[in-house]
Amino acid sequence: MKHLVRGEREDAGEERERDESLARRAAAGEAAAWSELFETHYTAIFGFVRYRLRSPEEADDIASQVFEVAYRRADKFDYRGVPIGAWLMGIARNLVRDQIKKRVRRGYEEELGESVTPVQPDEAPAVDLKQDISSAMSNLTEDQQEVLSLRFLLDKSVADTAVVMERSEDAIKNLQRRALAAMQRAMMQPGYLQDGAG
Amino acid sequence: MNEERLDELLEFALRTGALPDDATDDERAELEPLLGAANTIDESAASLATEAAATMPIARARFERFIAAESAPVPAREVAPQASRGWIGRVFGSMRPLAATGVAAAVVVLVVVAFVGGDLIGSGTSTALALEVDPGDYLQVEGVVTEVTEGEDGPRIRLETEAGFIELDLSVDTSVLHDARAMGIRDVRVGQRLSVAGLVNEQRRVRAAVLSVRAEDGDAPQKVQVDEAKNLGDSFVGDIVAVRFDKTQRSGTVLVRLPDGKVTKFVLEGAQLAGFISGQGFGPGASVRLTHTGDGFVIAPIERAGDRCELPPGTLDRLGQETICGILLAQEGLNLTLRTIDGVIELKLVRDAHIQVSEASGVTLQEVLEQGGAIGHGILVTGHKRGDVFIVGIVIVGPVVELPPDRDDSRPPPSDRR
Repeated sequence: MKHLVRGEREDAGEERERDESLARRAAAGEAAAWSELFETHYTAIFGFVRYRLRSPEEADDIASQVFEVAYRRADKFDYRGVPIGAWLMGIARNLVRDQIKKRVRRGYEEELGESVTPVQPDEAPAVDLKQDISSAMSNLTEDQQEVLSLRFLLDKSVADTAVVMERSEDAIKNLQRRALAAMQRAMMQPGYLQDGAG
Repeated sequence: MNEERLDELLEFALRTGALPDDATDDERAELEPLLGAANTIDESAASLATEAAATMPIARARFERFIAAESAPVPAREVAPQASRGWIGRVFGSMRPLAATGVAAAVVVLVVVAFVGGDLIGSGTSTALALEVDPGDYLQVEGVVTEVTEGEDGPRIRLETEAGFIELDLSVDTSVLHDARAMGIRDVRVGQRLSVAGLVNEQRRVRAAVLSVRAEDGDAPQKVQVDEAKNLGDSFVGDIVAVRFDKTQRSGTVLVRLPDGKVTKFVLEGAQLAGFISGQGFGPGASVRLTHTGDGFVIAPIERAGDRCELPPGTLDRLGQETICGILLAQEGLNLTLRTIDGVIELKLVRDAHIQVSEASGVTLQEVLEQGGAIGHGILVTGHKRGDVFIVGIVIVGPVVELPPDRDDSRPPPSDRR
């Protein structure tokens, strides 16, 4: 997912046209369009949800729900240059927030904290870099997590991220810098396994 | 330091890989650690893509069923055939390469399904002995192509399965997946082993999203008698042969090949069916454990339950890493050879891996570390894939278990095909 030029688009105009056509077909209930939507966006949606929730099972479920909600709301989607990906990401964002609220309500945070602590951490450091990143991310604010997920894990451009997060591009750049600083501080904390995968 | 300038410098460096020449020392000192953090996150994105790809099959099946359920009462729309990426890339990652080469196409597979005397036949007659299908049902089955003829809109394929045969009508909207690439509907030939999933329409045919070629050459499976689930004990394992759900997802039927080779029909309803669907990994060929409850059978994929190795399940799943269960065949230094239900895989322990020995194992940690004492035992390992190697950080050793039946060792480990 690493790119030399982040967020670069081969042909933004062509992509917009394809997006618009796809949106119309999806709104008309065309099965092939929904198949294409799923193919194109599932990985990004899953990734976004996965790093926000830190639970693969929940991520599976929420990512699937995103497409189900989108399908039900398809007739209400008004394509005016808003990328479909941003629309789906907006749905994902809301579902993640709802899920986090549910967790809080049922005291899930404590449970989650226990579940992500490796067995005897002094003897068994986390071996998955992804797990370490996820743990470090938990120290960030919701917005900081979101901007890092969109920009770095999903490789969204500043412009796309701004659309999804409903902020200006300047605000995204600023939030991005603060998020990276927070992330860097989190990774410097004792207990964070810098050598990750061993 | 000016914050806006720092923002711009950082964005420049993220886009180009380096800070601009006019960045001051103070600015570099401020931003270079942030670039390091960004690189660390970038590195983790690869494993994210792998995980996403692994979850896609189940997510696709769920979405497909959802669409079928949502659209069932609505008359079919007239939609002109269009090229589409279909579901193909779901299995193999991003569809962009396929789209770029223009080889992707939509899929419509029509399968005639009916059963007489335990067989699937194309006559339209149904005696419902093995699997009774109704309009709106979701069906998933695997078989070998035994005949290809010309149908009304394209090739008509006869697919032999263990429960009988299926007829598939392919059309211009049909695409076929083979080795991560789409191929034409007329490239399907006799001898190929296909996996088919689809929805039964009003004519008792099945509209599937994709035909996936599992193997180039295969002998038609011998038909087996399908038994009712009776006197089977409380808990046993088997391999899924075929799956059917109704459009409400309240009732389903699963054909399972038991260790004695017999194929048995299990009817799932309500919570049992919901649990089966949400349990993931329910496609043909998946190994499952069936547990009898007061209301019927609960069917759970073995990889998730971890019970083939008779170890306490669930402990490691919560860690959010990939967990593999199997039998330890060999240990040499940090290198382990593990036999899973999908074949033999090689693992590499991190130097400071945590090894936990269960009481039921009958061996001590010392024996495991110094004498290869875990060989022959069921173990659970958790870790992640890095390239072709599975890196293991945590090992739990269980009791000695019998080797599972021989399987095709070339298949990927369970972590790749959840």
